Amino acid sequence: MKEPVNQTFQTALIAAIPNLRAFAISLCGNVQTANDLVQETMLKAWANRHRFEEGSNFKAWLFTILRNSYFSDFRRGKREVRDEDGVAAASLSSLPEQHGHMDMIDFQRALAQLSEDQKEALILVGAEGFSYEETAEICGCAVGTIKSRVNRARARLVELMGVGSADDFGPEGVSQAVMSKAVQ
Amino acid sequence: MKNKGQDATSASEGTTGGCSCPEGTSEKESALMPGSTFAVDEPHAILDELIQAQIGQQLSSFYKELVNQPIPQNFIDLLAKLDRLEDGT
Repeated sequence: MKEPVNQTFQTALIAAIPNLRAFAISLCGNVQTANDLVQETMLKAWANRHRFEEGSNFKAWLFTILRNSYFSDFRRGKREVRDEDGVAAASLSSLPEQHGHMDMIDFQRALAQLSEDQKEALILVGAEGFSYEETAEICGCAVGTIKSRVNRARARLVELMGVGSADDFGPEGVSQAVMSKAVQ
Repeated sequence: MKNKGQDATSASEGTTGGCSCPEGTSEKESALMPGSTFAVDEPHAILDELIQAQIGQQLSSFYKELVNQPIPQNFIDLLAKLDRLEDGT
């Protein structure tokens, strides 16, 4: 007979997989390594499920396990083969044409060139929507450190993407940029 | 003879440091003055905001695309295995 707690845990774990995977792919820059990393995270989470404190942030807990696994084993192991073109093709294959497939591949290449600290902070704050405080906790460092990493990551992306003139935006790009600004 | 408006570039370069060598700037420096690598002498701030908004948007689209990918089958198999272990079989 199954304990209902385990059922709940498993359901929550399943729900978090898409985000764990997106974070892992962003970190590893390699889909296969990322999948291995997510599997390991799932196994560790399951094995340590009694350690999760009820009422605390489950997603943040899972992300902590994932990034710790990445920095302790996966990165050091360097098991990934750097194949950025292949990665871009594999992970973005289903991107609709009208959304600027090439732009996204360029973006992914630029992202891959960030330092791992910066990339991690940028993704957690800028894409995953964790607060600076939550991100600091996940990464095990000070809030100020996270803020500065995010700022550096953004500045570096600007350099890497080479968006140096208003021409790069086009009329549509500008209005989108303004609109997304207004929403924030 | 120099007339008015000759030094527009230096006048608008209000940020720290006069060195505008993009290759030489360290990560730290470029974070402090994000617009410094561009040879733009007027709409610095506005352009920088637009660029940042653009990058934020690309980051969101990139990430959303990853999140929306289907879960690989072996993940589902793994969870089923965990489930069976829990049953004690």
